[in-house]
Amino acid sequence: MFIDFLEERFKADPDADALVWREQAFSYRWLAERLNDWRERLAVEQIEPGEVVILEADFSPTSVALFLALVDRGCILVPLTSAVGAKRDEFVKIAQGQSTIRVGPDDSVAVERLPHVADHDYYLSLREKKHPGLVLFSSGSTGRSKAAVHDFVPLLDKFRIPRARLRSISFLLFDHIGGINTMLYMLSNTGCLITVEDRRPAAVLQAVQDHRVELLPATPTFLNLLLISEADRDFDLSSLQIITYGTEPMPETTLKGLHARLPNVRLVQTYGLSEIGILRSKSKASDSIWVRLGGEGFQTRVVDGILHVKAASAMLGYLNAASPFTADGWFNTQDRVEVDGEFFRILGRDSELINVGGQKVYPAEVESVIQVLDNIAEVTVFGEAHPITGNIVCARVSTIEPGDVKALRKAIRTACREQLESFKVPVKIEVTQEPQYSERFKKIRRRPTDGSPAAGA
Amino acid sequence: MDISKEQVTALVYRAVDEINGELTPEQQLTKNPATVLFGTEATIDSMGLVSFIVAVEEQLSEELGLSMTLADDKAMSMERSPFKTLATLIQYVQNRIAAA
Repeated sequence: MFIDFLEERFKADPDADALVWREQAFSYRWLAERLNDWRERLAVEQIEPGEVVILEADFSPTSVALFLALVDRGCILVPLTSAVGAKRDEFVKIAQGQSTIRVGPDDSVAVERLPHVADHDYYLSLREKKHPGLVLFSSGSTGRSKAAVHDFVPLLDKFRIPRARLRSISFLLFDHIGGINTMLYMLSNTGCLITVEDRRPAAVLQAVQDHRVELLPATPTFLNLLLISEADRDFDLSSLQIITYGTEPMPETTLKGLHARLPNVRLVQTYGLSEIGILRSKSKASDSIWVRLGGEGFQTRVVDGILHVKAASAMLGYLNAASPFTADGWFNTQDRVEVDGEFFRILGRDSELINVGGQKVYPAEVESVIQVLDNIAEVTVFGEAHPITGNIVCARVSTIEPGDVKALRKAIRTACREQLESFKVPVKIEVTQEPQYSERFKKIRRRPTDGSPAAGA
Repeated sequence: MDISKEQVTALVYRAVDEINGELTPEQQLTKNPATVLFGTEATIDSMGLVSFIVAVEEQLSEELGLSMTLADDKAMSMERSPFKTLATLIQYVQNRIAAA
């Protein structure tokens, strides 16, 4: 009953492709039938409305049908992908999972009951309203992962308005607000979701070419790798209309490089958080990092340079942390922004800011200078405590080809000194051949010695 | 590790060469034990000092395979700052190498 509007659209367009998985297309007729099968199977398995169900899967025909069936049954859904790695058991415990449904790589399904009691206050309120729920684990890149509990009904609302029908890659993951947003957008407009298992540039662009993909939702890290690999030169990308980017600050140099390489593709910044959902956004231009944010159901304000958002689709709260909302319902995004009329420029998380002797350095600004230098594949800028200036700016770079480390350090410092204030110039420069991104194609900002790579949001 | 004062001085002076390559003409450090590194008489500011210390650390790592942080809380709380002049720095580096 919660997804009636989706099913009506499926019925109106039964022969359209809903999904491409492992080179095989699945129609909306097929999806509607599987959805009904899963409704029956969930009843047989005694998975009840209000139950907390861990759905361990990546995008696949079965996982999409199951996702919808669980929402429609009124379950509280906790999607997890293999990207959570060693944190899986901890996440299941925090979410108080009562059962787990695992969709294997061959699309087979295994159901298991779990011993947890799911009695969190937010769960009780969802059950009282008889609404389905969604639990998403937010960024662990700068600390402990937090579990955001959503009422699924307001999250679905924005998909009731019909929009352009597109063919899109499912780039962001199944357990990420961005990945779920892409999936619901495609389903609500009977578009087609082209799933990929290998998210490296060549594999993704191969899928764009083979399946005439129109929309590629990506991350700045992925787009940078695409530029370095020059993979765009090897494929026919004439179908591609829009690339969206989000989840981390976009270095201006990467954006301008991408626009020069793909001048016919519209580049659009997205903005969203596990806690509030995805805002509607409009970039000032394809080569501009200035973006207008808002849309129906969202209000924005800037307090002391930090972006606050009030959202109709905001989460109820965290399972494992105090409510972050102000008394009148505003959410502090921790993102520092510059404002120009109705446009925002997102500088980065306040927690990633490096304080050098009282002066502020945003990693993205320094990364943007280093990224364009010769032989640089990736760069991550971070702070390290230092007794003289409080913190120092450090850079970890990986090179395309091995080379003279001393000369590279010098080239980096020279370029930074020419373009940045002296306190922003990296003092320590580490050179590595190791990749610096997570399975989510997002920069790993924590030092390698700080434990496992960030989960990212 | 045993190392002579001459060897340490030469190593620190190589770091001076490195850092001078990045400094403006007015900021240049002279290779003389009396050269002041910190305070009103110094030619470099605190960022320059931090960079110079890291240059010495890099030299230690490249030439002797020693990975050490010279500017730590212990160094900062010493009664006589090891970062006052090149002479105090050379003495401090020699002591740290001996203890390594």
